[in-house]
Amino acid sequence: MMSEISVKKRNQFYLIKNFFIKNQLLIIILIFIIVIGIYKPVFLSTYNLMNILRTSALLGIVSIGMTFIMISGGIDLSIGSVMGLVSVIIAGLTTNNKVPIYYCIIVALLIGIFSGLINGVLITRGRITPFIATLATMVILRGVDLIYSNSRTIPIIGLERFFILGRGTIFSVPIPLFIFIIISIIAIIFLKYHTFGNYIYAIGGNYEASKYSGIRVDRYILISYIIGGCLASLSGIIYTARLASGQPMLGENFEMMSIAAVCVGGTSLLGGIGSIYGTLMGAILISALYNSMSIIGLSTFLQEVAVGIVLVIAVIFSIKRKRS
Amino acid sequence: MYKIKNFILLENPIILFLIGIYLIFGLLNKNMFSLDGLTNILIQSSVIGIMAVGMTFVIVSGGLDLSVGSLMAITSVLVSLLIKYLNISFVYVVPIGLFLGVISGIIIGIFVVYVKLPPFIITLGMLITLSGSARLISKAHPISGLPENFQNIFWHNSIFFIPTPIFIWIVISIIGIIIQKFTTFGRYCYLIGNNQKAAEISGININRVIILTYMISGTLASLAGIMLTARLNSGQALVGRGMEIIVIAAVVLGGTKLFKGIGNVLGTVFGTAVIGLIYVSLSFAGLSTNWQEVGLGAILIVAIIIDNFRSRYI
Repeated sequence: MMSEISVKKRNQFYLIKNFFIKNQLLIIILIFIIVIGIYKPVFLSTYNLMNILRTSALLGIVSIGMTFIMISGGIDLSIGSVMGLVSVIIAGLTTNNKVPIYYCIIVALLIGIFSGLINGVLITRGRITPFIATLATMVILRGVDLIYSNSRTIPIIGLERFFILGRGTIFSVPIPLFIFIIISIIAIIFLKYHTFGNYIYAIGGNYEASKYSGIRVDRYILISYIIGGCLASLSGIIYTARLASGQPMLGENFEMMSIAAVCVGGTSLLGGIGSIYGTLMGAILISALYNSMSIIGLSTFLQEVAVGIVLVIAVIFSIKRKRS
Repeated sequence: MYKIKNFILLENPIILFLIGIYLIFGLLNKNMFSLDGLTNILIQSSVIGIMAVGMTFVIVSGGLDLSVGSLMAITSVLVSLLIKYLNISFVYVVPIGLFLGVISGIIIGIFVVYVKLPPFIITLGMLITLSGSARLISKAHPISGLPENFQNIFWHNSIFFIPTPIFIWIVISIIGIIIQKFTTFGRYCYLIGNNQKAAEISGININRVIILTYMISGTLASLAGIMLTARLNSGQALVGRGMEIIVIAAVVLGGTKLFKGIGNVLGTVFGTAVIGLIYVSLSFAGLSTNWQEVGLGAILIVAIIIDNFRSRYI
């Protein structure tokens, strides 16, 4: 009787310990946020928290795509450039060419899908390392973006129905957040309860083994890059709606932020491990981190430095997790 | 004869590619064939070429260094700040600048070797951190008005009738080739890049070799930063923006394979010349820097794909 209880207790203790080990990075950042909240009470006001969630939706939507890609063992550096290109093209088409906004949105989504397709084809058919292939597309897309916009901001005027996408609310939930939640749910279903998700985990865990066991490896990798590109363009559309203009440098450094968010959420950079739920938390926490830095009053340059450091720490943790 | 054929066709097909596009661009624009045109191409290439030599060592030993561009920027800013506001003679400042590269290389190396981070993540973190710091200490303003001596020694003078930047590039490339071919360090790089486990088991101190490669790359990036500062006559935080991809492109064009332990410095020299040629001819044609970026990315992809197919069928 006594021993049974002690075993039970030990089990409970083990579970709690395990929980802490699994989520150590989340806990560290939570503590950091609470400290900031005590130091600057403004940080924890409802308005500011809502603002953080709104920003995190933009990062989160991109990061869900990145999670798919990173679980399959790849990486996508081109997402920031996709966002910039999409933003500029939407603004250019509506303002200069008077194209109806619905068509613009469809064109934008197609651009995302197309760039994902290019990345995927380069990686699976061209046999280029994902990192180099997406670095090249990142440079190319940003170049196209700057050429199209002449490096200038393009304003969008009087399209309130489009701006709602970035600024409005449904049942007092900001629309970007709403979209983010819907996409997360779909992604969780796909990743957990669909063979596609299982295959992606298998490919990231062991490429050769999944190839020889008859999985169409190339096809699933291709699909994961297409999802990544498509979600990046969606995020670009929402961001454009929020800013009410096409910004050529939109999405700069988003690839770093989203890699950091995904790694904080427990997805391994080496592939095979990860979850959408973790990415969700990671995106919110990274946005909170950014927000807290502006509230403390760090300069943007120092913020950049801080994000670089957070990225490295997040990856160190994620790699240790894979090894253990 | 067989040896020459082997050298060109199997080891350095980039030479044929270089001659080919030089002829094509030359036919489009006669200025390319003149001595001035040639010098222009080589001067354009020199800064990239110096960094590419260091990058070759890193990539051959299985790593990757994305921090070179921002290292240039911070060296440029720091050197010009020290010269301008603290009035220290550039004779002392230049070693400090080079030392910055050494330190950055050591930091990257330690993270790669002991923390076992993938090289591209730690160097990506370094890229963000260094470029942020460069903008922070320069407050995003260019720092201009450097002594004329400094500019002349590092850019405008000639040594043995060769413009200084080209001369430095040549010297560093020759040293690089010698180190890679005739020293144990150079050979260890290949072994580590090819099979790290085997290298470790056969008793090579791989940690030391890997850290050393990042130190070389960092130092050369700082040197390139100093030279570019002399050329622009100002220290700027945006100076090496996007430079890392150009340098990687040069190395990859030269036939060095990522993560495979294949490649050599001589190929890198030719790869750099190809990139310099493309830059010069695009600006002769009057295209903006944005177009150059697009062209560069496209050429990088095409070069890697061609190279992959070649290695599959030869």
